[in-house]
Amino acid sequence: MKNHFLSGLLQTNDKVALKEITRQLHLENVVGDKVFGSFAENLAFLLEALRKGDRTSSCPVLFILDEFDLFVHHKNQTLLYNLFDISQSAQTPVTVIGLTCRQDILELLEKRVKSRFSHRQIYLMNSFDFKQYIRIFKEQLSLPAEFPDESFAQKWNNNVQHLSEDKTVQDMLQNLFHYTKDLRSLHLLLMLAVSNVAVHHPLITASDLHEASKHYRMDSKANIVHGLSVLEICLIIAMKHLNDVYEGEPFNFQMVYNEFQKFIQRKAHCMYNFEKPVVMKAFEHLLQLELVKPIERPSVRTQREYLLMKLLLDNNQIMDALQAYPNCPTDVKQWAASSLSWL
Amino acid sequence: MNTRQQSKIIYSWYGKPMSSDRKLRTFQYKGILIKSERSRTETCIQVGEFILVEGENADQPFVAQLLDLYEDGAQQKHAVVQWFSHITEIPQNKRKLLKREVSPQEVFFDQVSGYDTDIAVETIIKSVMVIPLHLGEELPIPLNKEQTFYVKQSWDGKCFKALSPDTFSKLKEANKKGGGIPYSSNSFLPSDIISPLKKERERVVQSATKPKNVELEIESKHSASKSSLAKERHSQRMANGIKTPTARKKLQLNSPTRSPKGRIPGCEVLELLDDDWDTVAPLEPSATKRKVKFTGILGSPPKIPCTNDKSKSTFDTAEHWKRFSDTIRLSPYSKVKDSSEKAKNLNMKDDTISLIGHQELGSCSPVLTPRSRRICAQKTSARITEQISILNTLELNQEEDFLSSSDSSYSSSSEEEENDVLCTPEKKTKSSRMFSTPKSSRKSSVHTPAKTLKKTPLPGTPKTPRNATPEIPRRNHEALKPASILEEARLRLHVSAIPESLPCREEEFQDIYNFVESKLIDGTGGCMYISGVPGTGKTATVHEVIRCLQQAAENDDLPSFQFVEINGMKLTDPHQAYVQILELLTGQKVTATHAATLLAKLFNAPGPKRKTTVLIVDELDLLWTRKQNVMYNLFDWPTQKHSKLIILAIANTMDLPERIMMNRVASRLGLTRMSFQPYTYKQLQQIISSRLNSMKAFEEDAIQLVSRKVAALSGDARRCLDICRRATEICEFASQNRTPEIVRMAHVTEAIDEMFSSPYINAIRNASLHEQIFLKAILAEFRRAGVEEATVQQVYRQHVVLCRIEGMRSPTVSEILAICSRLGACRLLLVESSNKYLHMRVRLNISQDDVMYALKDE
Amino acid sequence: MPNLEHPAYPSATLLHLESLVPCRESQVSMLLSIFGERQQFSFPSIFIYGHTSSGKTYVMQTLLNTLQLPHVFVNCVEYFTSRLLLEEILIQLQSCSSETKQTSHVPCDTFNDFVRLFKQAVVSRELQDQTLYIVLDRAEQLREMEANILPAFLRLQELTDRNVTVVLLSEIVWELFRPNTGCFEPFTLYFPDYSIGHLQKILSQNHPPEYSVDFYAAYINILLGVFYMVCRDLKELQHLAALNFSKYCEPVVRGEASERDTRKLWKNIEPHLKKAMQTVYLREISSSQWERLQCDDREPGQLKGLSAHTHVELPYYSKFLLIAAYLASYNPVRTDKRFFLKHHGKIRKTNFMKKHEKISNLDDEMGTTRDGSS
Repeated sequence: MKNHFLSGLLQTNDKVALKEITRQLHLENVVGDKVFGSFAENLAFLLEALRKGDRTSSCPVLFILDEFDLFVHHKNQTLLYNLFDISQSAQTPVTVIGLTCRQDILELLEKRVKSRFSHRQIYLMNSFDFKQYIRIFKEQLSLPAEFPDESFAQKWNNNVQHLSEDKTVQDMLQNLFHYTKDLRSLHLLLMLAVSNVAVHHPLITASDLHEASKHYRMDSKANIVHGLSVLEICLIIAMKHLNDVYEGEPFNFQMVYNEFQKFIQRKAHCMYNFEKPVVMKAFEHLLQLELVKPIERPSVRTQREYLLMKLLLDNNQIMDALQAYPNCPTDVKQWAASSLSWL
Repeated sequence: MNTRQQSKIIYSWYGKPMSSDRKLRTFQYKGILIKSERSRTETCIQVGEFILVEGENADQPFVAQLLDLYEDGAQQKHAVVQWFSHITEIPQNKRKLLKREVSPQEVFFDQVSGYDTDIAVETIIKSVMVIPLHLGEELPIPLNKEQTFYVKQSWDGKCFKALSPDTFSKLKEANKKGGGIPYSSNSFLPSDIISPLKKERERVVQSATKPKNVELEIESKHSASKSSLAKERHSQRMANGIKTPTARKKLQLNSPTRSPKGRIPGCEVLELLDDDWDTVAPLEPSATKRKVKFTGILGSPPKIPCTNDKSKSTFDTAEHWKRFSDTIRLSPYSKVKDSSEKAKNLNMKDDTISLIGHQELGSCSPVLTPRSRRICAQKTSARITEQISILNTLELNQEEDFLSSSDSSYSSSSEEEENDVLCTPEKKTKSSRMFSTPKSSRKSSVHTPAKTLKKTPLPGTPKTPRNATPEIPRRNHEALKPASILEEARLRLHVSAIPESLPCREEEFQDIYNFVESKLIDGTGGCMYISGVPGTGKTATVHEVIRCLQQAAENDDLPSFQFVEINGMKLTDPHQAYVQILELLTGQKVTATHAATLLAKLFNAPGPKRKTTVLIVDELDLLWTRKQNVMYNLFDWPTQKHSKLIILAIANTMDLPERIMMNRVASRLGLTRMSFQPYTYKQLQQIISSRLNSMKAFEEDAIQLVSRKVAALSGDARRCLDICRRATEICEFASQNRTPEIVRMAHVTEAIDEMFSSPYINAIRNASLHEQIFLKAILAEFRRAGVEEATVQQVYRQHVVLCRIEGMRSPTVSEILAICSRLGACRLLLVESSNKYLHMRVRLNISQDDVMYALKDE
Repeated sequence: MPNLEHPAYPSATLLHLESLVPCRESQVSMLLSIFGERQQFSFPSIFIYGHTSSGKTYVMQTLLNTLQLPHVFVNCVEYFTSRLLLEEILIQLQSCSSETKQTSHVPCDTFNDFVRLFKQAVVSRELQDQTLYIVLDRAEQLREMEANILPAFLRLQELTDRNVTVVLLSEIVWELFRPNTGCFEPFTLYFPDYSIGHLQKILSQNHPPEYSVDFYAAYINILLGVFYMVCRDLKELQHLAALNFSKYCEPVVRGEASERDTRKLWKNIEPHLKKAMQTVYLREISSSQWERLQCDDREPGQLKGLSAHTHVELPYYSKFLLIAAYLASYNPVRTDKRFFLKHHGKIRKTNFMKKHEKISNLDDEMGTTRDGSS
C-alpha cells in the first residue's frame, strides 16, 4: 500500500501536482527529485503507469488530497477526473480521499467528474456537549501514565482535576465553548497557559488560564485605536459623526477635515489648530493602519483629498476605545459622546 | 541535400490520348513518362507494366500492375492498378495460413476488395518486374533484386489460392511486354554497377551507426534500391509539407512501426535465414546489395570458420555453403542497418540482439533443419490444408506454440515476441519496443490486456530518461479472494467490474455497430456524434462495439482496421490531441504542430491501400479552442476523399454542436447523431441484477428501490452501483457478528440517506452557541432590511441585541469576525473578502427556512 | 517590572537583552515563555501586531540575535513576489547553516518546491533539534501574493513536519488578513504603544554627553508635553528632539540662563515648538533649512507655516522635472507618452484640450499638494 499526500496549498495546479505524484510514486522518469518531461508527457506517463496495473498484480495506491476544495479549481479538473476515472475502472486499485471544510464541495465538481465520484461522504462534526468538552480539556492537560516522574505526574494530574472542577475555570471554558467548539482554539489557549509553567512555577494555575483567555478576548482594533494620537482620534470621531449624519455613506478627507475644523472652532480649548498637511498626514496614517479604507482603489483621476473612504470601525468600538484611552482631553470625549445636537 | 530533396519529378503522358470518354471527359493514355531532374533519367511506364507505388511509409512501397492511365476533367492524372500484396501487408494471424517461408521478393496477387485501385499518378515510383511462378518451383537467382518480384499465389483477404491459369498467362505476357522496354528499367541500373571496394567502404561506414552519415548514405548509395528511392520522394513530400526536416526528424519519419525492418526481431532473423536456406532470395533489399558485394569478396571469409564446419556437416554442396555463410554474415549488418535507420538510441541494443542471433546461427541451424524439413513436408500438402485451413487454425496454434517454445530457448527477447504473436495484430509497436528495452518490456508485457497494448508510449522520448517504463510497483501481499457472498457482490457491483454484456443498450449498440461496419465495408470515412448525460454508458457501449468489430475483423467478416482512442480530459491541451493520435497510429512522438501536418498529410493524401482508422474522441467538448481548429481538423479529415477515417465523438451535451461549434465545424460533424437517454428504473434494475447474475445478495424490492431513486434523480448507472455497494457494506458491517444476511430495504435506505442527505442542517446543529446566534442575527437582519444580504456590521448589531436578550456578554468584533469567517469557510455563509472588515457583505448559502428549522428544536 | 528569567538561557544574556529592549520586558518575557527552550516546539505561527514604531521588528531581531536562535528574517516589502520571498528565505537558510559555505541560488517558484527544498536545507543543517524561526516583516504584503502563500506559511510546521515557527509582523489587525477559505489561526500577540512614561524613558536615554541627564530629561518632558497630542511615533519624536534641542539650550550656551531655571528655557523654546508643531510628520524641509528658519525669526507672527519657506528657487529644468513628477504621480502610466513626448502620434482635438487645461490647473495647485508626488 503506497499513499500520497497532496495539499491544495502546495500543489496549486495540475502540473505541480502531477510532478509531485510522480515523485512520490518513484516512477522511472524521476531522477533524484527532478521529474523529467513536459506536462503532457507526465500526464501520459502517469496515466499509462496506472493503466498498466490491475487488481491482482500492482500494489494499491491511496491518494489523500488535503484542501480538496482547492483542487477543484484546477483547470478542467483534469487531475480529479483522471484519479476518479482510474478508481472506477479496472486499473491499478486506487483510493482517493479528499479532505475539505466546505459543505458545498459537491456542487463544485464538474458533472462528469461528479458522476465518477462515489458519493461516499463522511462528515466530522464536533458534536460534543460541554461535559465532554471538559473531559477533553482534562485529557489534553493531564500527563500520560508512562511519564518518568510519577510523583510529579500525580501532582500535576490532581491539579488538572482541580482546575476542571474550579468554577471560574469552568466559566472561562464555557465562554470559549460558546464562542467556538473547535479544539484547535482550545489547544492555543492551553498551550499559552502551559507556556507559563517553569521551575519556580511548576503547576498550571487558574490565573494562568484566565490570563490566556483574557489574551484571546481582547479586540484587536480597540488595541490599535488605543495607540492613536489625539489628533488621529479626533479624525476618527469626526468620521463617526459623518457616519451618523449620512448613515454610513462613504466620505472623503475634505469632509473629515471640515468636520474637524468645526469642532476646533466651536469647542476646542486644548486642541490646537493644525495645518491641513499635518492633518492629512495623520489621516494617511489611519489609512496605513487600515482603520479607514478607500472604497475604490486610489484612482488616477481623483486626488487624494477627495478619495471616497469608509471607516472600518464600529461606534461602540470607538467608544470603548475612548473609555480606555489614556489622558484623553475631556472636550474630545464630550465631542465623541455628543450626538448631532450641536450641529 | 535539401536541394536534392526539392528536385522535382515531372509526370507527363507518353504519346497521344488513345481513347477519350465524352461523358466523363476523361482521356486514356497508354503510357506515362517520369522525368526526375536530379538523376536526369526519364522513364516510360506503359499500361500493363508492373510498378512500385509509394505507401504511407517510405520503407515499403506497394507493388502493383498498371492497368489503365487516364486524365479526368480536372486534369488530374489517374492510374488504375491491380495490387500485389507483400507478405508484410498480410495480417500476422493470416500468414500462418500458407505453410511455407515466404521470401521478401515474393508477392501475392491481391484480390482484397477493400483497397481502391484508382490512384494518383504522382504516387508511382518506378517500374519493376513481377514474374509469375508455379507453386512448386524455386525462385531462380535474379539479376537485380530491386527490380524483380515473384508471384505464386493470390490473396483475397481470407486465404491464399494458386494463380488461376488465365491470370498467370496474363501476367506472363505482361512481363514480356513490360520487361521488353529496355531503357525504362536500365536507366536506374548504373548506380548498381559500382566496384565492390566502394561498396565495402560504404558498408563499413554503415555499420558504424552514426545517424547523420547513415542518412547521407540512404541518400547517396541506394539511388537504385526501391526503398530509398521511395524514401527520397517521401522526404520530398515532407519537405514540401514542412519546412526542411532535419536529418533526425527525417529518420524518425522513415521508421513507422509498420516497416518490415522495424518488425523483424531476432527469431524472425532466424526464420529468414533458414528461408534463405531453401530460397536464395536474401532477406532485405538493402541486404541483397550486400550479397552482391560479398560475391565480390567471397574469396576471404575471415569470421566464419566455426560456422562453416557446422554448416558443412549440415549441407554438402559448396553452393549451399556459400549462400549460407553469406546469410550468416549478413544478419548482423542488416540488423545494424535497420537500427540505424530506426529512430535514435535503439541501435546498441539492436546490435547486441542481432549479435545473439548471429552467434546462435551456428548452434541453431542444425536444430532448425528438422523444423524446416517439416515445413517442406507441409508445403507438399499445402493445397489440401489451405482448403481446410480455417477449420484447423486451432491445431496450427498449438504448432505455433511449439515453435515459440523451441524459439524461446534461444533468446530471451524472442520469447516475448512469440507469445504475443498469438494475441493481437497490434503487437508490432510492442515487439519493436521490446528490442529497445528488453528488461522493462518483460515486466510491462505480463498482465497487459491486449486492447491497451497500442496505447503504450515509446520509451526513450527525448525528455524522459531512456528506459523509463511507466509502472506502478508490484504489490507484495496477494489480493484477497472475496470470502463471503456479500464481498463477492461488492466486487461485481464495482463500476470497474467489466460486465459480460451491456444490458439495456442493445439498440444504441446496434446503431453504432451498423454505422461503423458500413463505413468499414465500403472503405469510406465519416463521423458520428454520441451524446448523453454522464453514467449512461456511452463510452462503455462504444468500446463494446469496437471489441466486436475487432473480433469480426479477426475472423475476416470485416476488413481489418486500426483503432485509436483519445480522451479530451486526458489531454493537457487540445492540441495534444494531434500528438496522441499520431503516436497511437504510427508510434512517432513529435510536437503538436508537426503532428498536425503529418496527420493532415496522412489523411488527405490519396494514400492507396491504407487500413481504415476508427477514432474515438471522448469528452469532445474539451477539444474546444477559440479558433476551434482542432475540432475543425478532426471533423474535416473524414470528409476527405481518401482518408478512411471513422470518428465517434462522445460528449455530455446533446446540443454541443449548436452551442459551442461554429458553423463550418458543426456542418462537418454531420447529422449522424445519437443520444443516450438516462436509464429508466427498469433498466437500472436490469443492470444491477445482470451484474450480480443470480447471486442472492439483494432483496428484489431493495434493488427496485435503489433504481427508482436513482432514475428519479439522474439515471446515472454509476450512482446506482455506488449506492448498492454502500448498502452491501452497511449490511456486512451490520452482520459482522451474526450470520451474513442479504441486503434488505433498511440497508439500502440508509445508504441512500447517507448519499443524498444535505450536511447543512447537521452542521448548523453542531455549531457553537455564538455561531448559531450569529445565524439568528442574520435572519433577523434580513427580516429587518428585507434584503437577502447584510454587512457584518449590521449583523453584529443584531447579534449584540440578541446577546442582551439571552443575557450573555456579547463577543468582541474580532470574535464576531472569526465566527463569520468560520461559517464562511464551511460555506454556510457566502462572505466577501475579509479585508473589508465590518463592511463585508454576508449572504446565506442555504434557505432561511432550513436555518430556521435547524435552529428551531433546541 | 518582571525581571527576565528563563532556564534555557544564561542570566547574563538575559540581562543584556533586557538592557537592549527598554519598556518591552513584558513582551519579551511573553515571547520567551512561548518559545520555550531551544528544541521545544512552539506555536506553528505567531502573528504580532502593533503600532508603527512600537518595536516589533526591533524586539524580534534583538531577541533572536542575542539568544542566537536560528532564524530567517525577511521583509515582505523588499521581496514582494512569492518567488523572491521564497528564494530569499532559502538563501538565508543556506547562509545561516554552518557547513554549506557557498550560497548557491536555487530557483523556487512554487510553494511545493519551497517545502521540498526547505526540508533538504533543514536536514542538511545540524539543528534539527532547534526551533527555526521564520520572521516575515510587513506581513500585510503577503495578502498581495498568491492566495495559497499566507495559509501555507501559517501551517508550515505541519506541511514540512519540521520544528519551525513562522512569525508575522504587521501594523494591521489579523481580521484583515484572514483568507476566505478558512485557515490555521495563528497565535496573535499585541505590542501595545509606548505610554508617555515609556517615551520619556526611552527618549531620555540618548542624551548628549555635554549636558546633564535631568536637563535633557526636562527638555524631553517639555517636548512631550507639546507633541504628545499630535504624535506618539517614537521615531518622529526622536527626530523632533534632535531638531529642537540646540534651540532649547541656546540660552544656556549664551549664559543667559542656567540649566535650572526651566521657565526661561520654556519661554525661549515655546515659539519654535509651536512652529515645529505645524510640520510634524511632514519633512518638507531639511534640518539645515530648519536651522536657518530658526535663526531668521526676526519678523513676528509668520505662522502661516513653513510651506512659505519651502518655495525655494529651483533651476529652470528641475522645475519641469518637478512638474513632470507631479503629473506622473497623478496620471495613469499609459498617458505618460502623451504628456512627456514631443511627437506622440496624433490625438483627437477634444481630449487633447481637456488634458491641457487639466495640466494647467494641476500646475496651479502644485504648491499646496506637493507632498502628493513625494
